[in-house]
Amino acid sequence: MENGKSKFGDLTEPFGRSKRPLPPHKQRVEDGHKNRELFADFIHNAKNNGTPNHPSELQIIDDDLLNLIKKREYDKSIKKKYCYIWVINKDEIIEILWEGLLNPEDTLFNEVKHTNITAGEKAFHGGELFFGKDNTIYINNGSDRYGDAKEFWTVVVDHFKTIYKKYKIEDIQGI
Amino acid sequence: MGNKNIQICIIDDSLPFQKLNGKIDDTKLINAKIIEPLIEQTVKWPNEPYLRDLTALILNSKYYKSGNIILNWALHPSFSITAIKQENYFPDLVIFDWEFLNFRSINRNKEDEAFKVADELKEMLDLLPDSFFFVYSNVASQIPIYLFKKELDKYAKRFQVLPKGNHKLILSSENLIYDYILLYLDDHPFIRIGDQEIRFDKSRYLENYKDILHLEFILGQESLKNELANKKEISEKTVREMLQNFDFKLYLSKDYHILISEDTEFFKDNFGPLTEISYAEAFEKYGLYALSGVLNDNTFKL
Repeated sequence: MENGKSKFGDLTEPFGRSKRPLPPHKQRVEDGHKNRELFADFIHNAKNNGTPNHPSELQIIDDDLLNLIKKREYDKSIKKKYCYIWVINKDEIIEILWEGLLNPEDTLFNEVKHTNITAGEKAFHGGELFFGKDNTIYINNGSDRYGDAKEFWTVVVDHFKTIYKKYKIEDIQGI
Repeated sequence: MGNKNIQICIIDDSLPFQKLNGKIDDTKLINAKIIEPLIEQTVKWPNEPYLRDLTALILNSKYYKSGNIILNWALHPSFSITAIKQENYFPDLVIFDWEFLNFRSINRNKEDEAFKVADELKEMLDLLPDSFFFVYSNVASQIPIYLFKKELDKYAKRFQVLPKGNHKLILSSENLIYDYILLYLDDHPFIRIGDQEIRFDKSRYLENYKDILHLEFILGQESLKNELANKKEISEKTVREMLQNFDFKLYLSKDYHILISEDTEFFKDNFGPLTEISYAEAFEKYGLYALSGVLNDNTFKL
């Protein structure tokens, strides 16, 4: 960050980038989706490279499932086993959490959300990430809460490339 | 009232059984008849007002009085496991606390204790493959997550974690459990949402105790409260009416059979052409889960 300006653009509140009136489910972040403490041990700080250590075995997605996800023809419970959600937080650090975690504070869906990483605070960007074969990492900007920042997407992808030098970063924006 | 029965087992060591003057064997299942005096207003349940409220809701219901609800209590999971194995006791619903302070071994630390409780819960889930479990606890938010993932993930659809006395949702944890019981027994019960009694008409798209939470998610808590205060009923007709008052739209990709939350450039390019569809139409055609599913995930495969 230089002179208070970030290469990632502006921080956003959860759902803050929506250009339309927010429907009720987006008008506030539920408490169960702001609890970072509950998942703190499982949030991976990608500052120093490396992959998340939870679950202990890295979830590697195969091409067939990745294609089904692109076409939106997936069983959500299967997708969640391979999907990691990420944010670039207010300190410009990538933090990653496995989406397969069960959130006991979300009574309806039992899901973790990007705001479980940020504790409901502002962040620069958010999205999804899949580890593929041959050291490939697929990333997109798929986050209702912190996504949809098209003009800075190239900067985000480059940042992932800088952090994950041993990996090939594939931009799958939009899936 | 239907002819269906439900066997319920509450496993919690907070029952003030000492006030029963030694009438029970506290290592065995305790029949609800014996604990009826404990729900009288004069009897205090130290630190457990919500558990008392839940017990009173169940024991004061017409379904309990008519014999449709059969309730037993165990002070520790091991006592119910013994009853399952030795007495062919198969409850349909288990309400399972997470902390058993009166039975904690001085030799076990907090983490070992959590593993032990998780093992007992897992054993019960295996012994009772057709039963549903509410993990109903004062420490719900402190239950170690890894126990869920490593041990309990495959049972995820058969249990629900609820904090005792949680009032953040439109209905309390106690009401949620009570409504589960009523919907198990009856197709048209009067369920409890806060202080209100609301008639629930089961149908192809409305059937589950969580449907109230899906409606809360879609409409927002205040809006649903107002609608229920006026309509006093949850049925396909009233839900359609509630949704008709909504200006927000969804989008349908007929080619890809996908419901989409927003007509963004990406969705237009990849799944177009998109047809606008109202919340009410989406509910009518695809049901409540499609509607809340698309709002939660932005797309829903039809």
